[in-house]
Amino acid sequence: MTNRGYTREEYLKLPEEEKYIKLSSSESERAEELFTKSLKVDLHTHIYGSVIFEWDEEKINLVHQMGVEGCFEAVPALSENFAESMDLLGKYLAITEKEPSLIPAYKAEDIRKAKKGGKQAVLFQLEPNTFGRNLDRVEIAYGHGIRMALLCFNTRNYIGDGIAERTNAGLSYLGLELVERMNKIGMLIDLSHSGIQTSLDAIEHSKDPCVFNHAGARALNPPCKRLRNDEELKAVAEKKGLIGISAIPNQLSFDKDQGIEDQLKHINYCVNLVGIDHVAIGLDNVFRDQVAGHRKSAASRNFKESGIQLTGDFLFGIEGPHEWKNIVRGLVSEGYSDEEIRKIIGGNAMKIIEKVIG
Amino acid sequence: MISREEYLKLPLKERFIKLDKVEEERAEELHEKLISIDMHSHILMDRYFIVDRIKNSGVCGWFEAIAGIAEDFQESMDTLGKFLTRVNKHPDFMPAFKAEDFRRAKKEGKMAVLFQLEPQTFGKNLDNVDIAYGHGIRMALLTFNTRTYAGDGCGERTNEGLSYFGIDLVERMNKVGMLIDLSHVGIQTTLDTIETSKDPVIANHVGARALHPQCKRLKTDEELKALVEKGGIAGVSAIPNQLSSDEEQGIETFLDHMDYMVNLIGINNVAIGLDNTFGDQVGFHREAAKTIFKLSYIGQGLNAPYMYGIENPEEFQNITRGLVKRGYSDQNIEKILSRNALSILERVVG
Repeated sequence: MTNRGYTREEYLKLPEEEKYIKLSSSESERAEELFTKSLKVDLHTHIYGSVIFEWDEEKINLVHQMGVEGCFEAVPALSENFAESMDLLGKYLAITEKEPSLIPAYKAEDIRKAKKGGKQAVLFQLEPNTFGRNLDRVEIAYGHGIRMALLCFNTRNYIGDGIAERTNAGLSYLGLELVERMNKIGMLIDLSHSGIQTSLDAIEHSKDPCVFNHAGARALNPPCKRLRNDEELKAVAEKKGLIGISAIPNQLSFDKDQGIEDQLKHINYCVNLVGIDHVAIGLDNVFRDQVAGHRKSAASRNFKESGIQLTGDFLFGIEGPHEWKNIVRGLVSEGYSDEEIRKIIGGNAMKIIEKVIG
Repeated sequence: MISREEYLKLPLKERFIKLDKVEEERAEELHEKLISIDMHSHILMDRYFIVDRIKNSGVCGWFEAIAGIAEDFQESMDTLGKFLTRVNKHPDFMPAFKAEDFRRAKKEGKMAVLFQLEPQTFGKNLDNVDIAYGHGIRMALLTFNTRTYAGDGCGERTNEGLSYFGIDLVERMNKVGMLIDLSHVGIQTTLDTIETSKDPVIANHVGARALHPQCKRLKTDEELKALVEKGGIAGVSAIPNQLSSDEEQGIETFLDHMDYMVNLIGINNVAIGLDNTFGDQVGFHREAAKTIFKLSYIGQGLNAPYMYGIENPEEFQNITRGLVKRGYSDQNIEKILSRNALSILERVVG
């Protein structure tokens, strides 16, 4: 399949100017300056992958191209086994320590420091959470470096229901305790992948703001359950939380030709609905053919129940995290002011990190 | 009611239901002759493993619950290993893996122990069902008061049905031949499980909610009827302050629940699952309530200090006396004591 006439392989060979949003030369300069000077945070990344030996020069070049100063890397132990997630975190931390352009980060200040030193700060989050029934693991995980965690991942756990569950349960009693525990220690609560009632309960119960760090607006693509409805978006914003707009193919839209425009539509919709202070970026995309990966699991119940349809092959203009710059170009083309752009690409994220984590 | 300490100093006979001479002889003969099974017990833990008193109960076997509040699989398998060693090494006991083992135990004058998980510790891994079966588990709870990956417990703040994983789990347990226990399981999850399961399921240590509506550990009429419609059975428990909130409660309270259930769902669908121990249960509940076992969630109080006449497993024989006193026929007493339990074991486990 193709997107605007290009297969993914052909797309990857295109020069930047053909992939990126067209701007006048003054707009282009403004975008370049904003991208270089502003502090940028991606609230949800998978830049490390699942195995340590994937880390090579080609990959680090892509990370450099991405150009953000701060990101939340997801630790994906799908078994929801705690020891496995801590092992994976250990590997990720080792990569981060050894790679001179990266620094492990634990608070907002570390991201500012990275900006000054021309580096990228990496914070870590659990996706899914692996606390099981043992809430002491919140502290254990925090001690090892985790600063954010999902409550549920698509299906049910001890805490609540995921978006692809057959039911729509609210938080359990243990869920209420988990929220309190995360509040107490200063761990950000991410409600992406959590079901509607569980999300609303968590927002209501949490004394700290919560985030949907990689999502979009359900109103723009109602069949996709990974996106959030207006009620959820308003609720999270009312408690000073954030919505990070993702760039995963076949979530923001089910058109054949999907791209950066779709991400911008979701940004615009959310800005209109809940205000410029509550929108951020959490791409969730990777440096490889994501749709090929999705096709392998397309027959799974989990996948089907998420309401995802595999209509597009890739996102034109935001195919991977290395095309982050194009978001800034897009925001310029949509007519956002410098101040508004700085909020979306990092300012809002920094504020919530400072408030909840420190 | 006298204090628990004073009560335990009474000779057994004085704690028991008074019978006339004919009834007395009939009760003793029945208890001697029939197989008696306690479908839910916690006897094998070090502090409760008091062999003389267990033998005194006159049961020919019980389903021992492997309790691990952490719901950790490895921990539950470790406990099972210890318990298996205990019953294998002791000449008076034997492990049971099917119905026939109880009949053999009766013949050989031994006591047979079948193992169940309470709570289940499968987590998100369905293969743990096969692994647990391989190690000797023949029954498991779906949820324990609160939420699991499978469903909501009876004390959870929500009342959701089975999750997709829960449906998979029921199917896997059906496939392996592991009995599903719905005690401690919330109403909607209970109803969903009964509907989903192709095998009959049980609630092996419960009571009738209609008699004590505030306690969520007890089963509603709707649940009990649905259970038997699919061929399942319910076991009546004797945990203090679950069957009643009276300050004085005991064997008569237990028998009231039994009578109610027999009337509602029939004599072929009621059995016994005491769930008691040789320890101070109310004292344990009082302490545990401070940490792991939130009594308010399940509507359980601390009014009565113990159950008069069915305080511990040793007093099991008092049930036979009570059933005689309440006019049950020999055949019906046999059904309650073991026939119903063995029949469902045979159908589901083998």
